Amino acid sequence: MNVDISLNLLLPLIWPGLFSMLCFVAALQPALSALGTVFYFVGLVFTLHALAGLWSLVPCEALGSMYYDSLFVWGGIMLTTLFIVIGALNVGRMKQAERWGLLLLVFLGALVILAAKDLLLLFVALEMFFILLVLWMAFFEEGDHPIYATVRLFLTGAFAAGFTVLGISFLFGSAGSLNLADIGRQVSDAPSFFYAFGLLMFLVGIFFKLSVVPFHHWAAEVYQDHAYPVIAMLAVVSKFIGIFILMRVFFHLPMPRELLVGIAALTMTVGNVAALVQQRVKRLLAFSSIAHVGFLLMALVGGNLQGFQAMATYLIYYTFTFMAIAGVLMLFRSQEDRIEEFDGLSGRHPYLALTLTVCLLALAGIPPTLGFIAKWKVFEVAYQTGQMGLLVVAILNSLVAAYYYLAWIVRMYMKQGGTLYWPREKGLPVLVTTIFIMVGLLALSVYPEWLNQLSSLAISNIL
Amino acid sequence: MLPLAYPIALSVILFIMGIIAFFVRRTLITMFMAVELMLNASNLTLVSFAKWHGQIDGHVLVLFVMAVAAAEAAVGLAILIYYVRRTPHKNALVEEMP
Repeated sequence: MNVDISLNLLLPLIWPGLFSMLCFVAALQPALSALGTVFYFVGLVFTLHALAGLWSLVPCEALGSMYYDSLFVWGGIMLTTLFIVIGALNVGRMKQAERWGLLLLVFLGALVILAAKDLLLLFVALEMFFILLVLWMAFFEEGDHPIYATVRLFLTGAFAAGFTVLGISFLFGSAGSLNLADIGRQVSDAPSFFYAFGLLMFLVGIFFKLSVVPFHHWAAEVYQDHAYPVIAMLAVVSKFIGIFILMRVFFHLPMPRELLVGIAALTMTVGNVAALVQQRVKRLLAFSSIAHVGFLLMALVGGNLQGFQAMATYLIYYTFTFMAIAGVLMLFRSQEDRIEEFDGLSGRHPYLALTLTVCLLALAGIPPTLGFIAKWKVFEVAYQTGQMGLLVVAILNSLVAAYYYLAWIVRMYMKQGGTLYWPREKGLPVLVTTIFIMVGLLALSVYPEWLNQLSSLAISNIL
Repeated sequence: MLPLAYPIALSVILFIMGIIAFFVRRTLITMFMAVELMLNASNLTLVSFAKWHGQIDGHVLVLFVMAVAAAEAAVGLAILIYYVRRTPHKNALVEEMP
């Protein structure tokens, strides 16, 4: 096999690593710590440039264990953008340079996951992502009890890693290879007991990270005690790469469709029904993100390229909408993080209330917004692959979801007496970032063909 | 040669013991040890499969899993110590998790 080790292929991985080292060097001198922010953004912009340069080279393989295909380049560009957004939300909040270096290494781990072709690299990159993420989270002081939530997430994630390793070892045992394509070739003849057991354990490990029902208990508890940047990271990036892993795995291995249909239906139902009764904003967001994972799994179940495109559309919509909503909520100073505090927000901060309303309408999937287009695509895939039961469950779920998002909007406009306010002295970077995301989302909802083009790039050249 | 079923059965038993320990003993250090037991049980599976197939990949993965487990232990213990210092109850490491 011809392994290409040209520098162009390695640049997207070199830049984040190099600039994270520079961040750590800057951390040695307190006077230089402001440089961490600069290095972070410069590193990401260089990575973005290197990734964009890969379009002409895909599809190819690098280092014998990575796929460089359209899925990787598309996912990498999305991920870089998401990390730029997360960084922008944290400007002025993260003072120490080492925190920026850690965030860059988290990004590197996530980027390698998108390209991983064999289970060894997948496991190492996944753990790199997770361990450094926990370390990054431990620095945050905001939130009710952040360090306790960090410990909780760490124990859950380590527990899940045990399942992932056991699954990988049984998959290896069934095929005698760690390469996904080889395993897929072996399995297509006759799936053995080892294979079935290994795949199940592997999925359990990934489902923990994705917070899919019935492995979702940690999500609400971690979210409610932690700060909004961490919530955005967990709800967006960790789900993004979890879904990408499932996409990679089921591109090569036969999909246990009935299992995934059941899990998807269960996840969206439990997420939405639990969100109905939540009184705390962060818990509501947690269950809402769980419900959205259900919709993403529904697109995965389609299993064909059209399903992948629907999933790409849904990922664009969900990740950026959630970032915007986290950005808006980050601006407010709240005493108890209760949803009653939003009563009458439109009287105090009309523009912020309007922004939040647009985000909530998008999350609910009300027609003119991006959410409606993305949901429609997912429903279309389910209809065409004949998953009628799942389709009915999903439509009912959208109605339930619309209820609690709309109730939140009604609270802001119709009721009086909340105490939530925006302390104007801080939060300018957050505000600017949120406005940028909102403009982008509105542009995509006005011109849906751009969204189509963006999402079809992802599936143009899959290896 | 030892039949494959023996080491596999042993590692599955060890893994299940790890899960049980994780849920029964709700103290931070013990939960952490239970996770390490699960990882090592999986390592045993990997080694026996690698020997069975005559493939080096499994042995290599074992080394990586051990390295990852070491990194996890380092970060995990650092966070646990930080947690114990920051929390009001001083016996947090040996108390039951709420």
